[in-house]
Formats: sequence, structure tokens, C-alpha cells
Amino acid sequence: MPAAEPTFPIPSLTVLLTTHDRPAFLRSALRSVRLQTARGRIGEVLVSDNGPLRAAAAVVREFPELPIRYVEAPTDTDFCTHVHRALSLVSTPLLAVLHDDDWWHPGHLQASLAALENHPDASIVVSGNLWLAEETSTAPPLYFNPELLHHFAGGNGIDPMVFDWRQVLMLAWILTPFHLSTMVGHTKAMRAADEVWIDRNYLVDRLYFAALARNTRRPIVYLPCPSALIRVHPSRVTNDLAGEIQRKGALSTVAQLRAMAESEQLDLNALWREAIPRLPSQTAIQLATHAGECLPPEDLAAMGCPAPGRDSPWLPPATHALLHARAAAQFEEVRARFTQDLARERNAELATAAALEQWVQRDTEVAEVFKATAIEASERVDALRRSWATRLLARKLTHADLPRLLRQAENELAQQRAAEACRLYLEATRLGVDTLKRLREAPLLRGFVRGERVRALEAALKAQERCWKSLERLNRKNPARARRGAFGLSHPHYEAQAGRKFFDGREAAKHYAASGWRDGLNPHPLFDTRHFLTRNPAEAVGDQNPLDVYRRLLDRGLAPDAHPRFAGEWLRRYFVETSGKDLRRGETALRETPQRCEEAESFARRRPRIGVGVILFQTTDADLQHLLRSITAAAARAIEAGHAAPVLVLTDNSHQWTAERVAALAEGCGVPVAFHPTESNVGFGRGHNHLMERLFADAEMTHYFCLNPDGMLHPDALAHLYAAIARHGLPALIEARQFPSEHPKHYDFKTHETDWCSAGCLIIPRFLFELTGGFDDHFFMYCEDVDLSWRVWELGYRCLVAPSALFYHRVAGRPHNPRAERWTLESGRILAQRWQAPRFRLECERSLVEHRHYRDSADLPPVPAIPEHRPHTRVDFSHHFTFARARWHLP
Amino acid sequence: MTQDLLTVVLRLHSTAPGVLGQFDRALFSLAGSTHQPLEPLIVTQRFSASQTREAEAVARRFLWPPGSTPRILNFDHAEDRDHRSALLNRGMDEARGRYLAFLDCDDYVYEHAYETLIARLRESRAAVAFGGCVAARESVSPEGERHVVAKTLDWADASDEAFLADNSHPIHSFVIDRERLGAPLPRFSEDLTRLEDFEFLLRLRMMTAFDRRCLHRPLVEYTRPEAGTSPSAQEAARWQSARVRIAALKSEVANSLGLPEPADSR
Repeated sequence: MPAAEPTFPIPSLTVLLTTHDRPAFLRSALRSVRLQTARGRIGEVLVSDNGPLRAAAAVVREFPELPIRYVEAPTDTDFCTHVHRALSLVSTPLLAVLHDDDWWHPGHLQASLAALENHPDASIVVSGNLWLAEETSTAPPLYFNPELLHHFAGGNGIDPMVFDWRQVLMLAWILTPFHLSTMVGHTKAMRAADEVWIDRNYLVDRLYFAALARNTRRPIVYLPCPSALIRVHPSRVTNDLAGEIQRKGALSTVAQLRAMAESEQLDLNALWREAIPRLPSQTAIQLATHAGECLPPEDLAAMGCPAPGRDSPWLPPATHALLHARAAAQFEEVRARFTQDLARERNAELATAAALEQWVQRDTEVAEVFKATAIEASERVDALRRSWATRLLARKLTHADLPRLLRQAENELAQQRAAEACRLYLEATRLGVDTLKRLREAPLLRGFVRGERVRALEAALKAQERCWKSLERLNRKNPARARRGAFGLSHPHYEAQAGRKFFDGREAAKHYAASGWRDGLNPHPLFDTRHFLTRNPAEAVGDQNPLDVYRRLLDRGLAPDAHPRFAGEWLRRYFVETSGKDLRRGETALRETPQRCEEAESFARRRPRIGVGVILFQTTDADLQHLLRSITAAAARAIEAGHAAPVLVLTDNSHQWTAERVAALAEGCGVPVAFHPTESNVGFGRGHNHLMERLFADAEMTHYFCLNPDGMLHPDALAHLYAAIARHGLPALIEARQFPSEHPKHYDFKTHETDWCSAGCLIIPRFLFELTGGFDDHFFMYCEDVDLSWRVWELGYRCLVAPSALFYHRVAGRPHNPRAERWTLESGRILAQRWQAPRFRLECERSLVEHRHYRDSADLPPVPAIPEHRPHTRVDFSHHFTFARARWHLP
Repeated sequence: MTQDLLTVVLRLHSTAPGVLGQFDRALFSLAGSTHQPLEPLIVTQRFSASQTREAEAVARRFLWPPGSTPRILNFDHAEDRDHRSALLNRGMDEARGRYLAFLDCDDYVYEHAYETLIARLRESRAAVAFGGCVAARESVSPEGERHVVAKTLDWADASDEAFLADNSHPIHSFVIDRERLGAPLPRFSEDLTRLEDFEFLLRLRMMTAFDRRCLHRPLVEYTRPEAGTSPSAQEAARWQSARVRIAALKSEVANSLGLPEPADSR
């Protein structure tokens, strides 16, 4: 039986499949991956194809449900080079290897991951395997599970066995102890034996396990229960085993193993001489037969081997037939159970997955309608303008009529657009509700990890569903009362929230004012108490009823933020102007669309002026001078293009620089420079907030350019950024493109929208700084930019890339920095806390301990108490620290 | 030959806006190189005075350390044809550095590329060191904006057999130590307009060992358009003729190294 399901938090495993024009075999292998009970743990299936026919390309398309990355490796590379290259492409912390001609039992990954979890010191887990000619073979399989392993490690043939690195070296001296297709483990450890692939030995697997164990000094866990099926190619076995190549290869392998042992000052023959007398006589004979296949007679004598047996060493001796029978019976039992389970659940799984995809598709269509109708609207208004111009010339119109006509046309179009979008949205919601029901009904599917994005969508959909249902019920019951109660408290909704009955609305309002709001109850489907208190802390102070505070703010003409899904401006219109009649009207109701409030539009009309902010940290004179000269050149080019002259604000977190030193260096650079020191190393986000506050004290400054000191600007960079600000209109975060090592995260090539912007070279408009408060001070370093970007998206504004603005960022040749790794993981925890991703937080904490930044989880510092935000569609924890779909993965 | 000086021969064949944009990017990458001193040598083909001024204007925009300001050499030949090989020879003739590298205007290098490869040359006995080359697939918008669709590390097999089988080392992925070579560098065959770099490397291989330890490290990039065009008949003929020339040379190299003959040279 596979062990209890392990708890690796997010899909963090790559299945590596190297293939060479064997489509039928590859199909079987991928089918076995698809059937894995731990399929949710698979972050990526990397299929690397070095076949000249590229036959695998068509096969991978047959498995759309697997997260396959298909890579075309150079053709005619040999097996070792191919595997080595493919290994370098893996980016997840865990890795499982499968040859294209082998296949797995459905429980293989689950059992191996559980063993890996139970043995945290182990580098890899390997398992017993069955050798078969083909998938449908009825001939009894050869069970590769040498007795030697059991007696050597003292195992019972059923429970996991642990081999330390010296034992693995001893085993490899005699035979190839494990099979590569059974290997599941830590990617870093598996790369520790890279030299084996480069040397390209014939018996590479044998050397590989020895080198891996020796280089990592970590044990290898062996699961005797067979979970991988290895395809035997009869013609190759008979020809090659007896062939010259095999003999030469074995001699070379022995030589390398000998060198490896000598470098560790181990005498393998002597070690075996001590071990052999402790083995049962049958096993010792088996060992001698194995050893005789490759070792010269002098080594056999030095080991004190008995005379080898006449039978093939691969056949299990009769004395251990019982052990094999037990393992085989266990295997059969597991296989039968999984086959039954999978057959039953598979139909439900397929139907639900299809519905879920359809729902996501419909959600996308809504966004498309917004875009399409916006374009259509602008074209129509243009046409009207042309016709008005003609009528003006013919004196059928006066200029005074124009604003009225324009307003009228725009309103008409907006209503059409809103009605269409609303219809589609409701349709998508219904589809989503059906999907959720199916999800609940499919128990196997519920166990699948589908990523944070789907979880976020589900949560949002549930909230939406509750909201619509409640309102529909309210309106159906008593439309007049619904209108009256729309501004204030909704009696039935509050009863559902509180889980009890109230005599009337007045009694419910009293309850809410007395205690309900403190318990986080919501008086109305469109008023979220916790959200309101979080987003309006200055107004909602003291012991005041939040609904009263909200009402007072509305009376003052404000549009406070009161619901995570709906914009404040729209809610104000709903509550005050329309009394709830137009709940389903208006595209601005959804938070995903820009909140086109007047201030944003008026900000967008201002002439932009950029101030460049740089935080120095152990920056050398040469680097700073280089940066300043590049800013000067870029500023000159921007001024030539008619833009305002930039200014530069600096601070130093390492306290090596003074205002005088900076001024001396900046003399003659042509850009005004101001130095604003901090009291201590305040971290990245807080440092930039400090500079933004100083910069925006000057009312003329509209944009802050957050710039890293370890690089330089392209001469056209500032001009391109000014152009991007003008092009996109409403305030948005705009990131320059890093060069030559560009960040791989995805962005839309047409709209330039991206899920988040890197703060290495980022434009932050004053408007958004004032709205968000800048970077969150809780992040010392890293991930603060992701958090800011997601908060900006949440408020209805956009994050963009300016692809033509280049910033030379020197990151490509950097060595591994443990301090940066620790900061990244610590910030990842905080980000996960804020955006409600407990699995990601757990993963960060596990890595902090695994990489020895902390002794154990109890040693970790507490996560600061920060307000939680509901994840929205841009929040993505499924791509690890890329936080977005990646366009490429490089080593 | 100046010790430590690296000469980078950069080929520029046109001043069309798209090409100048790529040239600008290649120079920007050189300006950020951590290896100093560095001598960029731009070789152009039959440029008019105004074209040369355009190229100079682009080169002057970047911040070059003292002594590293790019020089432009114009190859002014009476015959109007593709002189790509002759341009490289011209650059080699003018190079002052002990170390030599080549760069095409549509490619670029990472900041530590030359520093890493020269360090390899100092550690090894080889006179040529190779780095990993990342292939970037680009899409160009109607406005001329370049977007990278995907990148892959085209990591070749680090063996001579693989090298003979295919031209696996782009022209900007290696640095030559001229002093270590101890003999005059071979010339690029000026009658070849395709695979001239492969032919050059094959002849270089007969003179010296290659160091390929850094093949797995991304050090340089070359870009290719997202949608390729099918070659014309004339273009296909050029490739075929170059392949025939190369096949004969491959056989010679294989014999000199004691390797089996590559399939296409038999």
C-alpha cells in the first residue's frame, strides 16, 4: 500500500522524460503519469526530445491535462548529453525521472514522495521495479529486487531501506543497484553528479548513483515494493550484454569507481571482505556472480568472494520465493484497487474539468466584450464627430450643441456595453456555480491541487453566488422593502449572517450596532464590514457602528471602499442615486475594470515629471558614477524630446555615503541630486517610501522612478517611459525592461499588461503612491513589488511593461547569495499571509528550514500581523517565485 | 598585441531602422561588459559617409571607458556583393587585443560573458573558449516593438563529434587567445557567404584544443524572428554549396583528430 499522502504544499515536482522518436512508448509513459494519484503535485512534465523526426511533438498534444513543457533538444546528441541538458532545464525543487520506454504504477509518485517526506535527510528515493516486454504482457515479470540489497541493509523486503553513501558505493562496485526510472528526489541533489553525464560512460546509471551518494553525502531510500515497470528490449539484451562494448564499458566503469573510492580513501575490496561473511551463503554466491561480470579476478580474490553460481544472478533464488510472492501479491492488490477507483472517478473528473475550463473561457469572453465594445464605441463616436463636422459646415448645428450630443452618444453606447457584459457575466456565474457543484460531488477531484488561481476563482465565485442569491431573494420577497433597506441593513441577509431570527429590521440593526459588526457580520450583501474597516481605518476609529460611518461619508459626497468586489464609486451610485435598482448595470461594478474616478483622470491630464530614486547599498564609486552618467544621458535625451527635466533623490542603506561625497561625485552630471539619509538599514520598500515622501513634497513631481543602483539606463529609457505614461493615460505602475537578462514573467504584447512589476526599474505615479501608501514596510527586501502590484490591480489600476525602455541590470553572473535567499523566503511568507496562500507560506517555511536558515519551524520569526486581502485574478502563487506564467525557464 | 585587451569585431551591414535598433542593443550590451579593457571594432560594408555618421552617432551615445570608444572600419570594395567574410578578416587585421571575439549586430552578450571566457582561457590550455548561447524567439509589433516570446539554451554536446556533426557554436559564443595560439589565425574564406564561421572554426580546431566547459552557462544570446521565412532557390543553393565545401573539411578535421568521419562527409 502507498504510504499516507505527503503534504508538499504546492506543485513542486517536475517529471523529466527524455525521448528519442519512440511515440508509442512515450504515449504509455505519459498515460502512466496522467494516472498518478499524486498528479496534483506535478508542477511540470518536461519532455525533452532529441529525435530527428520530432515524433514526440504530436504525442504531447494528446495530453492537454498534463502541464507539459516540450523542449526540442539538439538532434543526434547521445543519451548522456541529452539527460544532462534536460536536467539543467528543471526549475522545481523536486524531480522524478522516467525513461520514455518505461512506465509507472499509479501510486509511484505518492509512495516515493511520502518516503521522501519521512526521510528528510535522503537525497533521493528509488524503488523496486518489474521488467516486462510490453504493457499487455502476461508472462511473469522479472522482479528487479536483488537479495543482496535486503541482506546488506538488513531489510525485510517490504519496508523502506536506507543506504548511506558508503554502502551505495559498495553496491555500485558489484552491480547497478537501482534503476533511473524509479528515482524521485531533490533536484539539487540529482544535479550533484553532473560529471557522470559529461564523461558519458557506458554504465552511466551505475556510476551516477555512486557519484550522487558520494557527492551529496546523503542517504538513498529504497522502496522494495515495485512501482515502476521497465521495458525489456530482448534484442539489445542478448546482443549487447555479450558484446565488446559492454565489456569495455564495464572496465571503464570499474576504473572510475576505483578512482572515486581512492579519492575517499575507501578500500572497497576490504569492506566487502568484512561484509561477505555476514551474508547468507546463497546471497554471497549471487554477489560473486554479479561481481564476476565486471571485476577482474584479483579484485574478486581480494574481496574473498566464493565461487560464482551457474545461474544468472538476476533470477531470484528459491529460498526467497516467499518474500517475492508477498511483494507481488501486494502489488496486485494495490493495482486492482487503483484501477477500480480510477475507472469510477475518471468520468466525473473529465466532465468537471471540461466545465471548469468552459467557465474560465466565459470569464475571458466577458473581458473581451469589454475590450471590443470599447473599441467599437470609440469608432462610433469618431464617426459621429465626422458627421457633426459636416453638419456644422452646413450650419445645421451649432458648436453649443456638440457637448450635449457627445454625452448622449457616449451614454447610449455605455448602456449597450454594460448590458452585454452583464448578460455574459451572469451566464458565466451560473456556469461557475454548476461547476462548483460538480467539484463538490467528485471526491477524487477534490483532492487534486489545482493551483492558487483556481482556488481564488472559486472563492470569488462563491462570494458572488452568495451575493446574487441574497439580493434576488430580497427583491423577490418585497421589492419596496428591498429598496428601502438597500441603503442600510438587509433584514434577511443579516439573519442568514447571524444564524438567528430577528423580529424586524430595527431589532437586527440594533444587534449589528451592539455586537454584530465586531463579529465581522455584514449588514448587507454589498457592505463588507471587515473590508470597510481595513480600507478606511482613519474614518472608522473608536467604537462607532461602521454602517453609520459609511452613511456619513456618503453624505459628504465621498465614495469609500466598502466591498472587495465592487468599486466605491459604483456602490455610492447604487446606494444613494439609484436605491439599488441598477445593481446589474454598469461595467464599473467589477473591480477588475479601471475605477475611472475623476481624480485619476485629472492626474492623467497633468504634465508628467519624473524623479529618479536610488537606494545605495555597498555601492562603489565606479558603479555610482556609471549610473549617474547613464541617468544624465537619458535625461538629456528626454529633454530633447520635449519632456520635463528629471531630478534624482538618493539614500544609502549601508551608511557608506554622505551628502558631501554624493555631491562631489554628482558634480557636473547635469541632474539635480538630493541625498536623504536614513537612520539605519531600513530595507528596500521603506527606503523607497522614504524617498517618495521627500520627492512628492515637491508638488510638481508626478512620478517616481524606483531604480536599482546595480545597472545603468539606456540613453532612450527615460524618453520611452515618458511616452509610455502618455500612451496609457490613467495612472499605472510601469516597469522598464531589464536587459540583457530579461525577467521571464509573461506580459501581454498588445496591452503591455503584466501581473506584477519588478521594482528594479519601476515608475510609480504619485496618485498610486497616495492611494496605496507605497511599498509595505513589513517586507524588508524582495516581494514588496509583487505585493504593491497586486494591491494596485485590486484597486482597479494596471501594471504595465514598457518594452522599449531598457535598463541594464547586472544580475546574470551573480553567485548564489544565502542572505538574499533567506530574505526572499521570508518575504514570500509575508506575501502568502497577506494574500491568503497558506500552502505557499508552508513551502517558504519548509525551505527556510531545509536550507538551514533556521534550525526548525519553531525557530522561525513570527509573521507580522498584517491585514489580509482576498486573492483576485492576478494573484498567482502557482508559479512559485515567478508569481506569473513564465515565458521561458533557463538554468 | 596588447595584453588583457579584448577586441570585439562587430559586423554591421545596413542602417535600416530595424537593423540600427539591433545594433544599438548590441553596443549597449558591450558597454555593460565587466571585462575591461575592451576595444569594439565596428566593420561596415560599403557604407556611404552619411551611413557611417549614423553608425557613429549610435556608438557615441553609450558610456565607454577611456580607450574603449568604438572604431568604425568601412570595407569599401568595388564589387557590390555580400562581403561578410571579408569584413571579419578586416576586423582581425585591425584588432590590437590579445583576445578576440566576434559579434553580429542582431546578437548580444551578457555582462560577465567575456570575463568568464577569458578566465577559462587563463585556467585551461586551450586557445579558444566557448560559452552557452541562449536562443531568443522575438516577435516584432507593427510599431517596431520587440517582444521576446521564448528563450532556450541551445546547449550543444561538448564533444568534437557533435561539433563536427553540426555547427553548434554561434560566432559570438567564443573568445580566442591569439597569443596562446602561437601562430597566425586562419582567415575567413571570402568566397563563402554561408557557414563561414563554421569553416573558420573547423580550421581553427586543427590548430588548437577547444575549451567547452562553459557551454551549459548562458553567456550570450542570439535572436531569431518568431515566424521564419522559407529560403529562396538562390539562397538554398548558397547553403548547399557551403555545405559541400564544409563536408570535405569536416573529413579532414576528423582524420586529424582520429575521430570517425561525420555522416555527411562520407
